[in-house]
Amino acid sequence: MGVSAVVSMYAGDIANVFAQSAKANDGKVHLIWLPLGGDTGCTVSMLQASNPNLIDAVTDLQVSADFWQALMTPDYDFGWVSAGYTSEDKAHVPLMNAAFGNAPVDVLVVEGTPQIGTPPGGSPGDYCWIGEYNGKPASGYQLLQKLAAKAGWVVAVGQCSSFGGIPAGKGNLTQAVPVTKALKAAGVTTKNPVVNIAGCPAHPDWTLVTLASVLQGFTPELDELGRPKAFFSSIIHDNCPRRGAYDMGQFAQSFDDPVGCYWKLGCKGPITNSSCAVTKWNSGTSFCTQSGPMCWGCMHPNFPDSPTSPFFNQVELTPTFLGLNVDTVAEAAGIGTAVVLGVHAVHHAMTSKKKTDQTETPRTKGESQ
Amino acid sequence: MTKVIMDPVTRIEGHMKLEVDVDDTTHKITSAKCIGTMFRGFETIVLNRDPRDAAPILSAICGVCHSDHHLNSVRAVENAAGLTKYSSDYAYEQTSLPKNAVLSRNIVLGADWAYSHAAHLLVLAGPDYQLYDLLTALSKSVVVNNYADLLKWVIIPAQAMMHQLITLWGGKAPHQRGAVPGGNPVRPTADVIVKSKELVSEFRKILDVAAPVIWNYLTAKALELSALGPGPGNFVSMGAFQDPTTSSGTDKMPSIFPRGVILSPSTTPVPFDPSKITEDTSASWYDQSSPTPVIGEQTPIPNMSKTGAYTWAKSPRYAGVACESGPLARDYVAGIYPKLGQAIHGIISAVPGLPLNPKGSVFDRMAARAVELVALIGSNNTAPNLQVLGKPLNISLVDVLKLLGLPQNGLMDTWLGAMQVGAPAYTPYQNPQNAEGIGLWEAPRGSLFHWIRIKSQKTDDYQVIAPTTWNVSPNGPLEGALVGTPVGQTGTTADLRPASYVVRSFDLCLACTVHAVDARGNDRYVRVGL
Repeated sequence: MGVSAVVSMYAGDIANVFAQSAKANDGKVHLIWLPLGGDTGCTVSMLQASNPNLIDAVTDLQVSADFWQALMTPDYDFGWVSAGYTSEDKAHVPLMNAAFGNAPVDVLVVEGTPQIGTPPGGSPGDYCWIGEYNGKPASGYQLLQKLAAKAGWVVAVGQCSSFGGIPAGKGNLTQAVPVTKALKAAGVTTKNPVVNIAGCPAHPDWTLVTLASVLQGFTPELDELGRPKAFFSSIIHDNCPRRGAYDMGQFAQSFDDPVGCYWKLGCKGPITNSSCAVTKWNSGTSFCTQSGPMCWGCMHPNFPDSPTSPFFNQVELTPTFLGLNVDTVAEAAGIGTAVVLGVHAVHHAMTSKKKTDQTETPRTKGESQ
Repeated sequence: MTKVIMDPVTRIEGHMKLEVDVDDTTHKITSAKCIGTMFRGFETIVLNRDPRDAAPILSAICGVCHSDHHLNSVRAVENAAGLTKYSSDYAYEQTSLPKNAVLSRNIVLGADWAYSHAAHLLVLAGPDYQLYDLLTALSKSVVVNNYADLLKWVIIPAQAMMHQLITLWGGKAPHQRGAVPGGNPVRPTADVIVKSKELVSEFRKILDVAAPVIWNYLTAKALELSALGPGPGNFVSMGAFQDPTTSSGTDKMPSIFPRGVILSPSTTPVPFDPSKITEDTSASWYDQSSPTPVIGEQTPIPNMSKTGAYTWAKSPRYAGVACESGPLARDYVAGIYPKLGQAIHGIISAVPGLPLNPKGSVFDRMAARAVELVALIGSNNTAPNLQVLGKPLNISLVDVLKLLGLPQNGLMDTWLGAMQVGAPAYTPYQNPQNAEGIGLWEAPRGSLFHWIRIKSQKTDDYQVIAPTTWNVSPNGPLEGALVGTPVGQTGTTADLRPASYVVRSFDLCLACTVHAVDARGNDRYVRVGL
């Protein structure tokens, strides 16, 4: 499949969505991109969005990116200059105005893990500072609380902010936790359920579709972990190009096997919910079980801990996992069914006013070290 | 004395605060502090896991140079397992991996360099340089009226091509996790090779138009830019892109960008020796102060109340001195950059050679990055339109490649052409019981060092030194480079422009820099085995 059918089908809708949303206030949708304990991989991933691409989304569709540390410049304005970033020593201004002042925040995107721990000799949240407010360093955790409380929508983009991800892996020192858990610990409630776009990195096309949906004021259908069902309902294994080999019991003996199923080498496709095998990556070029040695489970809520690791250990195909019976799904002539369900879910999210009842399920990892 | 604070510094990777003191009479920076303001602690997360699990975890140290940590961790593990060995002077590698594995790693990492350099030159640093007047130059061929157009029609598509290329060989990008100890996942097919060559060719078309414009813009300002941001004059390169195509095959592979060190006042590279690397934490928020050899290091734990400490970044030193790392350092060590300088000197004698500033400078860092981009991608541009100091050199990009002894079709295309279609890219690997291994590589931003100790088939200790750690360390190259930089008094964005030039010339990556602390053997923290 070329560019994802899911995404391309709704490209026109996305444009309308952004335009309508922009009309709601000063003609702009105000977005803050908050970088916490992460590696900027999700920002780089957004540059790979293909339909629409990131610049279409930002410029044509009236998004005012008031703060986006990795991209902002005082010389060219995508919102940040008009929000106060007028010289190199004023990058903090749009962020602080949004967090502590009256500047509007329609969408808060969180990239990276909130680190709520206290370093020895420091204060809570001191593992991450972004700018100064009133002459003191503002911690990422403090900014998250202020911004999330006032934002129309909080979207956790990527595995770190959705589920803690690698910085919250066993052995971490910083009490790295998912956004939902950090907000709960601080007693902050959000206007809408936190949307989690899992993945290391987040898939750019899925992210833009989801952002478009929430900007229009519709609640995307989310699963029990806050993920848009459109992209996280199916298991990678079900749509894997090597699935035929699995069904015939043809298993790869080496990591460069062109056709065999990687299950016995440790592939996490059988336990990972995602549409990677459907939309693929980088404009539909390929994905990890097609041109990689296996699925690493980077969208699984427990990544990089058990059961995604040890990565090279074969996972048990248990009778039920995440509510889905892998064996039954395997037996059903269901390849494609999940795709149709995914498309339906997006359409539903973007055309129906009905909001789903959504209970956030906070992650339990990463809190005790 | 006036204190100027840039916090956060934008258009770099990660979290950095910059504090500079400006003399009220000379309006020049008299001292600078680079403060890494975010800490995650990766090296404890990989402990007690399967050594092979380190790579997909450490991959997330950086999402910008997103293939390098993954690959170099794999390389360290392969070295520990005896699959790959370094010669005693670290100039060569011998590997049991198939030739295809070595080549496909070169291709993935070459694409990573190409995208990263393009993104730095255009998105991160470009706005400081009015985008090198590219809008005017490109308006003849594409509709680009403003920055958004340039991003949409040129920059984003170009970098996306390199990400698609990585995806063909590694599954997705960013964060391809393609390499595994023993090799790579894709047994080359004609189909994948042709698609890859097409992507390189498409990228080359853009580069052929953009590279001369960028080069001529930078060289027109060479006098100003070469006076800005001198480094310590010490340069380190840990070597990149092993060549399995010589007559020795995979038994004796040189690095195409060789390992070596230049220590001031000498300008001649000497062999690299990892045992000479130490890390100093006296000005860093960790509870240890004395310099420690990085091999076998038990790095200290966080302590923000330590007197004199102001950053999460540590200070790596080679033979006790601070070294600059990055494209300039490795092109200098490789001799490519001086060679280009000699050629230019032969045409315009007013140019003494390259580096234009022997200690490195804003100009030299930017120019070296551009040269690497052309070396990787190659060129079909035979128009003799290159200039220096605004004067015509009467040579073309193709001529430059010839002068440097590099293939006209670029290194990437050459590697693709050397692939053995249908042959394996993987050889069986077994975790060693107890062993140590080193990974040496060059990420786009500079030298990358990984070291692993394996005990009972588990990771017992792990150390990483990332490129930017060399450059932003306390008392390191960037802090020194900022001293003497003028600060304008006009009240406009131009005031901090020279400082911006200096800061961004290093193409900083702070997430890489502050990745780590090692609590090995420290019972204060829970260590959970799997």
